[in-house]
Amino acid sequence: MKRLVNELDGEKITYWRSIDNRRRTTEYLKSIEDEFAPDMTDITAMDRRSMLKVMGASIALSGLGVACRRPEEKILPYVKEPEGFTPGIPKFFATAQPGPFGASGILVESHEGRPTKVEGNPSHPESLGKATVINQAAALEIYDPDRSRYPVSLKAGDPLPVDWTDWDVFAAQHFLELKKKNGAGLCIVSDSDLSPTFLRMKGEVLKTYPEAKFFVHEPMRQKNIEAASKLAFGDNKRVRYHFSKAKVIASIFADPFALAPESLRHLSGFGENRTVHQNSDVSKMNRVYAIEADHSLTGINADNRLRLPVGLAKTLVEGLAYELHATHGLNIDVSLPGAKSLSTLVNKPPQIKGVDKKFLFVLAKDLAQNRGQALVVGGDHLAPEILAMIHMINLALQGLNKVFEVRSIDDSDAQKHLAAGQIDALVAELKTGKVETLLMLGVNPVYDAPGRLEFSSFLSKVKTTIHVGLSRDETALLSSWHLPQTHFLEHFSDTRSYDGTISIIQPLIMPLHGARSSLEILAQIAGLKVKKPLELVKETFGARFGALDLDKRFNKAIHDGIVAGSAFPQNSLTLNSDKLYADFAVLKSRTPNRENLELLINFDRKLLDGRYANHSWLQELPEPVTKMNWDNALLMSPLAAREYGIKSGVKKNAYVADIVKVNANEKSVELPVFVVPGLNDYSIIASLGYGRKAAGVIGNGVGVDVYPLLSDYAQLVMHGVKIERTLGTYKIATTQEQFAMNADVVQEVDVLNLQSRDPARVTNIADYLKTPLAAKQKGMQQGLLVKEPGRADKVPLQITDAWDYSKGNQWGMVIDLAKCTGCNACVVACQSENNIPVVGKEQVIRGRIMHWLRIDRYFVGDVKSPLAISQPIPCQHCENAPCEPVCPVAATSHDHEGLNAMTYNRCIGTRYCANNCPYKVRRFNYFDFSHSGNLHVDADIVARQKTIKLQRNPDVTVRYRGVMEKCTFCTQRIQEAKMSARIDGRDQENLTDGLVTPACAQTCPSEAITFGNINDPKARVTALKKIDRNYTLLDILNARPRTSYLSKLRNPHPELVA
Amino acid sequence: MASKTLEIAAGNIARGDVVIPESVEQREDLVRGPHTFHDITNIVCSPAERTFAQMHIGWKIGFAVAAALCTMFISGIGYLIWEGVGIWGNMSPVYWAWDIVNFVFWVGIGHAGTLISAILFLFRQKWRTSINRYAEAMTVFAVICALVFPGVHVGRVWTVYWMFPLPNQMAMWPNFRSPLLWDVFAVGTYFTISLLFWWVGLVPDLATLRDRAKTKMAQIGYGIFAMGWTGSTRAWVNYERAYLLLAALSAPLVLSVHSVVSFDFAVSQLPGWHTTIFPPYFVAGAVFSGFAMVNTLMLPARKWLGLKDLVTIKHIENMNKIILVTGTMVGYAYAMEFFIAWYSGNEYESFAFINRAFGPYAWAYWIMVSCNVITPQLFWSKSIRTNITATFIISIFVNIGMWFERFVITVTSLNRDFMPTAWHYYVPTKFDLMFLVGSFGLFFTLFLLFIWRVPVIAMAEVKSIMKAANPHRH
Repeated sequence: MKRLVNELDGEKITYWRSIDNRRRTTEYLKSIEDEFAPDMTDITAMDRRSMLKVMGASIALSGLGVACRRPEEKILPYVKEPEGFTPGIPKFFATAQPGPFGASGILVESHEGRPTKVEGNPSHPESLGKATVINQAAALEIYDPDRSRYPVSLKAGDPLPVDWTDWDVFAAQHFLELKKKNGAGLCIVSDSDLSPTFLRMKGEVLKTYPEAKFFVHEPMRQKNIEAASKLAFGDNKRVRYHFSKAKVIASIFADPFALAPESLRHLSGFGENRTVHQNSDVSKMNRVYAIEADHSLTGINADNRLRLPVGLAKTLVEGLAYELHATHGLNIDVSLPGAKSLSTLVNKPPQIKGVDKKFLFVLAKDLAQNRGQALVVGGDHLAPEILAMIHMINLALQGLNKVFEVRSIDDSDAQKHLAAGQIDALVAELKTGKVETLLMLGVNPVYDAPGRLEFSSFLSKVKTTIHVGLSRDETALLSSWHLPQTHFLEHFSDTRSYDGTISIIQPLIMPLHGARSSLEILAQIAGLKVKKPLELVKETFGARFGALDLDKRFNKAIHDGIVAGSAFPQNSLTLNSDKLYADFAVLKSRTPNRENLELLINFDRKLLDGRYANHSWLQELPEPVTKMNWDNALLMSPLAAREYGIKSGVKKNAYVADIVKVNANEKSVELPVFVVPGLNDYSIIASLGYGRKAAGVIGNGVGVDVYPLLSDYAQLVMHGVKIERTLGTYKIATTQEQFAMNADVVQEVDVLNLQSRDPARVTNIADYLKTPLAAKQKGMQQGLLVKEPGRADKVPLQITDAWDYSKGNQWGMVIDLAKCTGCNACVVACQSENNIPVVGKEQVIRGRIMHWLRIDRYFVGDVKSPLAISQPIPCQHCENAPCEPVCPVAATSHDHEGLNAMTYNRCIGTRYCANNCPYKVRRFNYFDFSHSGNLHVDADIVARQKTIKLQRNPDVTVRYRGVMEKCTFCTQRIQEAKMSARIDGRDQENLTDGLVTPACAQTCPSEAITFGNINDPKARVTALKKIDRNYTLLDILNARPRTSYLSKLRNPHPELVA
Repeated sequence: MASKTLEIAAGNIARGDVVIPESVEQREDLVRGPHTFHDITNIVCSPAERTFAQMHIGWKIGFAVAAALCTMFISGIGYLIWEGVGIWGNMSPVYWAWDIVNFVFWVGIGHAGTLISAILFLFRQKWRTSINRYAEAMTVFAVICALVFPGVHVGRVWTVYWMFPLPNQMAMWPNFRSPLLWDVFAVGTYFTISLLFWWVGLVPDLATLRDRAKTKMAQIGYGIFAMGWTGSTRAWVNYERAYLLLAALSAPLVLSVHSVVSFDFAVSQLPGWHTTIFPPYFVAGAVFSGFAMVNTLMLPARKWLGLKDLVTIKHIENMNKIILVTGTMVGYAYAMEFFIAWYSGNEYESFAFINRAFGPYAWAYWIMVSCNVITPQLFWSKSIRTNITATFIISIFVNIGMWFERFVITVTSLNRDFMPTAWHYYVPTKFDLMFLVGSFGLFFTLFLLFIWRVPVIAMAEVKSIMKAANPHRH
């Protein structure tokens, strides 16, 4: 307790560089000129006792050698072994992860009762067997050492840890009084999850407290998109997209691949239509247009991209509607009730000032030509009227029930829940002063309420505030009660995905810290007799499943992870075109300029609204475009940066960013500027989710909090924003240098564009069709990246006899760059599968990030509006691995299945192998990253390790400091498959294709990664390696990697190719 | 005249720089002044027979500083072993940085000693006798400093013995294909031979000290290391043979050790490392830096210990000539690397060298070029190469330049190689600096102890090149 409070007071943590603690203060670093900064290892910071320890250690080491023993551990067998349980064999359980965009169906791997890894649930309609970064993150989130372990009650202004019984005593009395008043003065706020049991509990609470008020707080609800479906199709509608059926996709300031409902389905559909293995596949390939001001995940993977300020979205959509209607004769189905022809809106050519006309005409033509297979998607930054117009365009493109569909939320509880008052209504209620008790279930409005609402000042006026949450966050600290909440992997509950499919959430483990779930708390308040979540959930399904079949069907639903047939239905559509056209027509476009910038506020792709700020995997995950981690920044175009005299750029080993003050909405925040090519010139971008004060040891003080600028989640774009330079600078960690020889930001891209040094090949489809092989040679010097011949016609240039790789399993991997979007799911999957430690910002700046699989980002094309290529780089598993001969102790060697193996026990840590690796995929444990610190070990770190350790995959060695590590092609999975083949009497030396899938390939939403036995003629990987797009990196070195790539293939519209 | 020396000796401080003769008619003598054999004994033994209090104040200050730095070095090693090599700035992609730079630097320094003692001995270069003891000691101490770095730079120091082909229950040999293993043998052999060679040369002189010793401790101490030397003809014959054999063994080591060290780089496939020029280039560089270091060490000692008659301007000039020759060879190697990078047509190779000269570490490259290529050219001028101050300053420049040469080779090649996405700038930490300075502390601690307790000039050998030993003057 004291610790938490102290951290908030800014007490400096003196230990460093364990996996959990590398981030100390947010103070902008003062001295970037210092040759020896970042000063991780300041011996002057050592106190006397530590110094004595060092001296003592030196003497002990010089004289006696190390005499410490390993800690004693005892292994005890079961006396009575649980049924159906074999130690060492993991089990998988289906459950679902509630999220801001609806639930995702997941399978959780459990080792001896510990959830260790999250995979997608193949039977779930949204996840389709894949998992996002956020899904994967749950495996660590549950073990977050900063989760609260006991209820906390505010007594005389001091937070005191108490027992649950104290709470029960308090609650009994407190809610009895409320009950007497019929619940007047009771407000309950929860997130927007449509859990049927939760909604039922809500009803129960209202029965007991008829005057109680419920509010819903979910910052990432996509209010504009919700409002747009209401405008377009009426109340309680949800629009779903089917990317797999779309030939032409236009993303208008949207990011359907990330931070959107059903992003996994979108990625999967995108990938499906990017499967180009032969010439005939080319015609099936989809084309993605992106119109955006920032870099969305969709935008960097688009075939044609247009930079545009968000302020011009209305012009663009109006122009598009006019083109489609007037030029191409498309119209919405006027037979629909309430529908009016588009001509009522766009009867004369609109002014399309500021929008590239050629792009617009080509886009309209392409959409029109592919009607029925064309889809336009709008993002939450746009006004609801514009988004509703985009729905009208989709109707005009005749894509209804083909590429998109409209579902009706038919459940009245859900309808009520979604219509409940939101944070602004809650603040208004608090303002009245009538609220006496505020119960906050799993929400953190003190941090994430829009700054203009000044939530916390009104919160303090409420007499009794009860916060139920995973950790003592900002809201908990200001509440009179904080109750630990169970993680979703610890309790029974239920939830609904975006399309309405219900999943029952089952626990994987007993609550680690004796927490209670929201359901239990509500049941307690409602005074229900049944308080166990399992019983509560079962009761909910009593009606649906029928009393007779309840157990059977309930268990089946738990087992499958979904309740079959529970999705929202599709009903007939009713439009209200008159109102929509009228509302749309009065909108005004706004063009930002040098003095009046346009500020886009995004939710973070990793931390979302900040709820994952204390998650070390996510904090350390490099952003797809900037490759920045452990920070947020103000993204700015090179032009604007130059005009404002901003000199942000790579200096020595860090990105040194100038700090600017952003004035918007009558508030200001100071943010470091990160210059990114390809942004709209006068649009600046900042992400939410950072700058938390009570996230925990990992997340406290990381980045800058941008919520103060917000007035409403619907207004994520601000116009007329002013910025001013301050004198400060700040160091940002990036995992990929920008290759700036100097601070000139534009030159970065020029250097990146050196095609001949570009290991990620890109080509467009027209060139590919003309001369497929030319795709491989385009822009590359012959002989540097040569064509990969068939395996047989290779002449190995080696002195010793080559190993015969023609027998047995020979593992290989193909990564299709045309499909890879750089979504990072593989990186986190790898991290969670392989116990990869997190190193922290200072160590990232030092260049010691441990990710076995990194994603390299290359910019291509026009300097002003480049596209990006994301290239995942795992160990290439070279047959002639340069790392192997140089190891003096033979710690890295080749196995007979072609794996470049790493023997951690044998490694003495000379690091020569990593020097000699041309792909630089090897990672060295410079410190004891996986465990606690050595000298600076303290009780706190030891306590943290206790829970973090539970996440570790027991099939993978946890590496000690001083050893080299790298991608193993998930060798533990290969061994597992071979063992089970042997047990089953199958041939373990010729495993069937698909039996072994590394973690990265398993989770890749667009299925860009294929793994298998290249000796097996029927294996998918063998077929892919025969494709002429297949190439290996740095062929000149004759390393003969087993990992090969299919060159990036884009499908730009021929008329838009410069 | 001899009496004057004796007078000084009577004051218990013998000096060899009191009597400077007028210019000589014939070929200049290697030992100047009217010294007798006994004078030489007195001059050389005198520092070794002083008490701590009698040592020059410069020595005392130097020893205090060196010992402090050495203590810091040892503490640093303790801390390194405790915490991990992460206390240095090494990272990805620069997995080797100052650790290996320092290693190569110190091994290189050692080379001058072996060259002077072995090769010049075999070529009957008599002028070597005045400086060989000094240079050999430098070799031994430099190799000790060098060995510390590969020893402690590994991630798991406690398993470093796995580099040796020791029988073990796993029947696991080291990987004989790895240049690092060749290094273990090359440097190990080098250290053993150098130590033996030094010690064998010392035996007659240690016996002299033993015989002159006035305390029991000194008699026993020197007695042990003199190995019962009697000075009989039989002993001299055996001694001369052993010395000749060891010289013959050491001679190839001058070429082989740094060649093998260069294989650490040349055998890899890294652009900037993977070049065939490395072995001769490294050897030339090693001799270059070693001679500079001999100058750096000898010039002050010569003055403070009063050895100007034994280590004359001629010696210094000879060494400066070698510095000039090897410096020019090194410069040629630098140029040739660039030429080959261009001529090979290999884009990665070309880039590595462009990056070296104009990339983020260009400052290091140009420090290297100015110190190693430009400064030694001043030695074309006789007045500069016979000027003590100029020689000393240039020797310091060469030391700096050669350290930077290793830095340039190691760090700039690593920091930008094949995959641009993996490029990263290396920044050293305070601990890197501490280890570099600390290794000098270790070196000078050993060296100053050597000056205090061991005859710094090979008395027996010097006597053999004096006029008196060779009365016919042919």
